Amino acid sequence: MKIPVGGIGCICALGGNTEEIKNNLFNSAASSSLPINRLNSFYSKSYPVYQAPAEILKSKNKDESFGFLFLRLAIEEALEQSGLTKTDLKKVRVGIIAGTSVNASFNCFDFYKDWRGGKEVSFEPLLYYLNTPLSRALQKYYGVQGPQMTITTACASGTDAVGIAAQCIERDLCDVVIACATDEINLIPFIGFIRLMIASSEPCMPFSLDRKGINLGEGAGVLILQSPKFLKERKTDAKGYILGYGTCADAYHPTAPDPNGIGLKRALNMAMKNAGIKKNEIAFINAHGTGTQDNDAAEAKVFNEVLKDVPVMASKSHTGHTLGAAGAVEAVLSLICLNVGEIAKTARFKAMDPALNIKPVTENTKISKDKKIALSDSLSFGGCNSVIALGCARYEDG
Amino acid sequence: MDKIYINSAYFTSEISGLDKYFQAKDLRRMDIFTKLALKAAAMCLNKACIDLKSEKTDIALIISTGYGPVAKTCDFMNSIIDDGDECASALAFSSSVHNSALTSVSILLNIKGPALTVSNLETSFESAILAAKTWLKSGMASKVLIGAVDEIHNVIEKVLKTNPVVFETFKNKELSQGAAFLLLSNHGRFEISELETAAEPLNPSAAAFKLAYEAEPMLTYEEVKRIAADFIKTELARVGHNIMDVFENPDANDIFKQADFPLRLKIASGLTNLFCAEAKDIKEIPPDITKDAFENFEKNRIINFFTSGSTGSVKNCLHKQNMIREEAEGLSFLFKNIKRVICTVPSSHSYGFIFGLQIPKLLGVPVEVKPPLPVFSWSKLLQNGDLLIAFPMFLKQLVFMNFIFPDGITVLTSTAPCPDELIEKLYESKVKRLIEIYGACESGAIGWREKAFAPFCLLPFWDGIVNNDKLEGISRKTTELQVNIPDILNMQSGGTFKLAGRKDNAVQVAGINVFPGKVEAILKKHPAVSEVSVRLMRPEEGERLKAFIVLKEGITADEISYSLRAFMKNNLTVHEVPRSITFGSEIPTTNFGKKKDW
Repeated sequence: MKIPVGGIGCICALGGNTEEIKNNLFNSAASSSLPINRLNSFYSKSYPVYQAPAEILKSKNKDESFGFLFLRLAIEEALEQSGLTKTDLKKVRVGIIAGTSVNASFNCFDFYKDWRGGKEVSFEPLLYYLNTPLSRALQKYYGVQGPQMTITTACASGTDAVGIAAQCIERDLCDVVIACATDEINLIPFIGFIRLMIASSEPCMPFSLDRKGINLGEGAGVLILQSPKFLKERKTDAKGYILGYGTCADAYHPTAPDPNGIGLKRALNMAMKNAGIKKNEIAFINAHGTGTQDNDAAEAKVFNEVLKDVPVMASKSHTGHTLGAAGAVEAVLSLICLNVGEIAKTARFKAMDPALNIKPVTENTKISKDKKIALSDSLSFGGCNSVIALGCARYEDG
Repeated sequence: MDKIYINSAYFTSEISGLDKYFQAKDLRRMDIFTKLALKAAAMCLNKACIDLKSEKTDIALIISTGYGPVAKTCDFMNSIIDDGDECASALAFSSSVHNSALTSVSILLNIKGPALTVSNLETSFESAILAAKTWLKSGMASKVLIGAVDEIHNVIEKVLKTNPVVFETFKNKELSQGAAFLLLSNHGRFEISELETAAEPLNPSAAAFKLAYEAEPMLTYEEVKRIAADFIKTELARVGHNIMDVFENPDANDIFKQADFPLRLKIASGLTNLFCAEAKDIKEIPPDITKDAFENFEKNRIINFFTSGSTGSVKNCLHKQNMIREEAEGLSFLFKNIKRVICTVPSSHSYGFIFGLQIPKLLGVPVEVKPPLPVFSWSKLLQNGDLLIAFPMFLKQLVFMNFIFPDGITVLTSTAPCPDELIEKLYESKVKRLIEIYGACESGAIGWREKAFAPFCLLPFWDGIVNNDKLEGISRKTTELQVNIPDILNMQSGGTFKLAGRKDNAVQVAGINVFPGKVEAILKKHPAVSEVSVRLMRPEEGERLKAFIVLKEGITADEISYSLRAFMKNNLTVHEVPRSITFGSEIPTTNFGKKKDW
């Protein structure tokens, strides 16, 4: 598989566009928020989250969710990078493969609480939930009619969206696929992760000995995938490539990964085989790296077995866990790093956990010119493990 | 190039029976949303003969849901509202994510291939099919277990119902609950081409249900084995094999070995007719008769409840899958609240097939097959909520024994006319409800009644053709089946009808149509017979045919008795052979010269 990426777009705690994100990523300039005024919870003052930039949050239209806002803005950026307009999209076969968790759920807490309490309520949140699956809302917004799918494989949704979008191009179902994922900070997962005792009351520390869990984040990641033929006809350059995709279930536990990482190992091997790549070609892996005990341990075990000595980057230390969006956000961050030629450091890593025997990259590190490939993996509730292989813009240069 | 195929399918809207396959601890905290998905997924694999517990790394799992586990999401929100953030239920949260059904299905069915959940309201299943095709064609998995699941959530239901103006789009739409799963691969019999969008708002699983329904095999191999075994048992019992020996043995091939060669050939021929689109004579016995029957059936998926007819030649009564479904679904309204079916009628018989096999399948209730032996232990066997399927003769024997039915038993009888007196006696014997079905092999069930002396009601899947107040013919409402009624049916008020005799003068012996005229013609061929009259015995005499024979001059009854018995055995069926023979000098006639009883 070698599917060109025409353009990328992103919103996360690091910034409202990829240029801003690039600058802030290598300067570790993102910071978590506390207290969180958007969430009316007992825990709002004690558990930090990584919010999208304030000016982005302010720009939300009344009839859209934050999740849709992030996606709309990130897609605009990615299309602009690709040199594609809304009119261009109407002339070709355009697929939309979107990933999310919160934005497909009945997580309208305020509406529900008021309705249950017998108060007069506005039905907008429910109407939105009943009428607006993400990919179809985007189809309507862009006036396109190709294949569309909203993936809700929890925290693996974003990686699956990119992988399946690439397969749609590979199967020649589309000329262009908008591969994207989004999620917004919401009370339900905020309280849920705290109650599962896997949220951290401090800024998260992936793979560190004293890691305490996740911080929620929010945002969207977008990759405009194009068929090689379409890219060539338009005489535009690829900003990177999707080279492989693999996904496998653990069939182990509802919320914890298989400690032996067997599903992740198979997904990794599947993606590498699909890409036709070997370990020594890989510049780095952008780990799922949530900062929970179990996730980081399972990943470390697999990395030590399959990707020994491949540098590990843990970008959630800059963005928080953007849940369904994470895979797409991290694919964008991985491409940024590949194209800059540098692996961004993992923030706040203090000491190696001997049980993990993994030290992520703690300083921004140059990538040698012969390494043009990165991997990005996601692990989800329910034991779904998904991996994509990405190539840098000059992947074809030889 | 892009074709994919359905290997097995299952759909359900209820969750009973999971405890047969899974441990109580695994099911205890599971919500309905997940149980629905688990049941449909497990049964779908079961139908494809895939072991549920073995590790499956080459099978992918894709679950689509329109709305996700809304009830669990509400549970979690309730726990926040009622118990506060600090005590909110972590378990409810982990079950509130859309991926929760996939979690349990993958764990309990040990599926370790690629896995995906998609959610796209009423087009969710189309998205899932797109992913399944992609994965099958890219070689990521050799098979994909794909499904749709949704639950009825009372919050949304209430909001929609109480605010019809706000939710105008959903006016007159019903929320649906259920799961439909399909096992897909690159090879198979049932091809999926373009998915016809059957999805409806608030019924996001409709497309999956429609496809699973269409792909559902009419009969599984196990069911064909049961039908074949019942056919063989019936044939063996007919020629005098010990009924208990035959009924206790479930293996068709094993019972088959008990028959001598001519009978084996006859049985093999009968099975070929039953499972073929048309009757045909065979000269060789297949090495595995059940496998042969299944392969025959799979070629056409038509079952042939053939009859010997009045001429002795085989008459085809072909029933296609859509006709069988139309009949079973059209009958199901009669069986609300039935918890179990006890069937004493062989499933190779058209009524055993419908009521003892298709109806339990449709109702999702267990079925137990029992030999029709009139013993008192039936009172222990029968339970409240049972539907007993039986021929009138068996019921008559029970009544004769003064058998009292336990509470809550529904009895269904058919084939032979059930005398009004027997219906009355069955109610006296504490039967809760007696359903008599009127019908024929060609048509299946036509009408039904519950009371003695009452007319029959035409079943709702038929349109009647009435001529001069007679119901002459009937045609199915949604399938192509059309039948000329073999009986004289007088139409009554309200679309009901009463039976006024057969058009072809057939009489029934042990539920089988026999024709006294034909028997007379055959007996007359015996060299010693001058004249003969054959008719059904009076009730006090028995339930078989009887014959009155006038011998040729100079021949005595004693002289030809042996040869006449041998002649009848060789030339008549078991049901045709007269049980009693009276010899006389002339056929009894009325003053008007018409033959009369003796």
